[in-house]
Amino acid sequence: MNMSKEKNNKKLGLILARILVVAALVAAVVFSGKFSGFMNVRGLLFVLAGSVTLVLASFSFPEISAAFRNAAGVLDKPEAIRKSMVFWEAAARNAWMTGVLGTILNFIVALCTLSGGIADVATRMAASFLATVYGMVLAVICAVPAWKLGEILRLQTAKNISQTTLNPASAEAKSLRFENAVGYLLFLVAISWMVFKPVLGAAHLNFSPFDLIIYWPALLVVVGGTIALVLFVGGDGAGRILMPAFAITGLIGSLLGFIQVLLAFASGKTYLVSAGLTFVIASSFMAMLGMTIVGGPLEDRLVKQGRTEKPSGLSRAAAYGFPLLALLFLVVALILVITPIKKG
Amino acid sequence: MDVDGLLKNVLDERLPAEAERRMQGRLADFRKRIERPEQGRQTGAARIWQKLFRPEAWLWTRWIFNKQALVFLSIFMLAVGGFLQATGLRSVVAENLTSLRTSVSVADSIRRSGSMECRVQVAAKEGVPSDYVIRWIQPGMARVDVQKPGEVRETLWITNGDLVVVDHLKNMSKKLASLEQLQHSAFQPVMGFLSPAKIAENMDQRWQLERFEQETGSRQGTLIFTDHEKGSHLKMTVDLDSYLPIRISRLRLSAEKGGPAEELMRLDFTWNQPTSTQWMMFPKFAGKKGSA
Repeated sequence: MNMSKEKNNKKLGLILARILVVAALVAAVVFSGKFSGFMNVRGLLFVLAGSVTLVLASFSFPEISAAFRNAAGVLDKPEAIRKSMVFWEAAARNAWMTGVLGTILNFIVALCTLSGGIADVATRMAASFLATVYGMVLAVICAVPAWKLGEILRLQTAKNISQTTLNPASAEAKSLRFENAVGYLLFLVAISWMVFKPVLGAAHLNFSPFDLIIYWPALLVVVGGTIALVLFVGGDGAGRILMPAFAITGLIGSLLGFIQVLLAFASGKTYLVSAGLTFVIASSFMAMLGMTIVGGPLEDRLVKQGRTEKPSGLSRAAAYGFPLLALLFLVVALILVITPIKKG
Repeated sequence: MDVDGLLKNVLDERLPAEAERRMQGRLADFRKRIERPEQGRQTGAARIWQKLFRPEAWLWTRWIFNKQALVFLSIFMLAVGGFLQATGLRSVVAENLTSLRTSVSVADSIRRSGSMECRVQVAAKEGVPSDYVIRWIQPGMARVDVQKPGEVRETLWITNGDLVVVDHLKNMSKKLASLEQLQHSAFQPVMGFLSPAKIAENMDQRWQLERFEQETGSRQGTLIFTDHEKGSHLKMTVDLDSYLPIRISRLRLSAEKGGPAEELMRLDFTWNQPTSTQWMMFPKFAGKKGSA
């Protein structure tokens, strides 16, 4: 018993030492100043804070601690390992989605808080894409324990040591815990910090921070479309379809926006080109926000409650594919903005 | 002997009522602890939290999720959202996108222009107003005349990097090594407008874009910039067919917010008109020559 405890402590110590070495390397790279072009402090802080708070919104402290223990090599029963695997998979998904969400937010803020010449605005808009890189790196870091635990689980099941059966939902998993509410609250604080700070810090701006993130046509279309899709599916599948529903309505909204851009180009209406691009960006943002704060946590809860074994393929495709499309839309928007209009 | 009766008397399972009640109570407590193992350790606040957020506590909200109401809500939201988008609802993001696109296009058109003539009026300083005429003939070739009422006082020639200033009153010419030497001369107010490339560079690097204004149906728009270095605003009227500026006004805003703006300088542009090379003819002076 004591030997096993000593072994576990040693494993945890080793993991801690590895984290410290990686942290020291990252700090050395950052402070060397050689990679200052790849630094976007606001984006990095948002990705880190957003990923942590979203994990808090979906999981309880005991579940988080068990996931870290299992990732460090201290193995529990198969059911606990399965839960830890769900945790790490959700953390990876959250990191990726937070990265793209941070990019969209940074892009909008850079566009609306013009503080230098055209070159400065274009540079800040391009730099906003760094948040996606941070999110992707963090997602890979979180995905490694998920893959590792998945392999352990597969081997254990193959050896028939124990069957991983789905337990019926416990009362605890059904209710919203205190840390979940704190997670939601802190995530909203992180988003507010991203938008409110630069806007309130600039004296000459004559609009409210809400004007940046709330574009009513996109909000109404994405939420209305999602409700309609959920109603079509109905029944028990309603909770599971939320993530793809947000992605699909976001995609439809973005495509409609692009059609409006093309029509406005043909008729030479400059403002309608911008209105179409705004609809594209806002639809992507609203869909991403819905997926992050409603779809993701709800799906995690369904898996934890044992109502579904794992997220569906459609849901995974939405979680990883839609942010990629949103990123692509943003690149197209950036190119359209910085490409001069040719006349005659 | 009645064996059955004897056994019933010896193995009687019935407990006294009080003992039975206590035992049932303990069993219920035990079941509760198994179902919610943490509840025993929870503080008062945590218990209230659990009670508040257990699913059963929110059953009353079910009416919100009434199917008919949701169908109506989703159709209403989609219709209103589509309508608002089709009518071109104003938004900060769209307005900034328009400003930026217009500004980028104007800077590009200015950079690609073939020639330019620009008449500049500078507000009177010590009672004497100054006028300038900038003629940008082709890349590397420009002439700037300083006029005080009625007559040309000085001329700056820029020819492929060579800079010559001619003082018409003193009949004197002066060769300059660089444009920096003009910082404290009569040419100083127009230094940022000596060539289209210089104007485009200012738009790219120095002037902070504030907004773009356009009246409905008009083929002209106005870009507003802030020049932090000079503490003034620039109002650039743009022709939206050619994306070239028609007029630039440099304004100093009054200390009171919303008060009238004082015009410090006004530039009127003519673009891409055939320009005679006679403007680059160097005057023949009988007088002295000097060099800086």
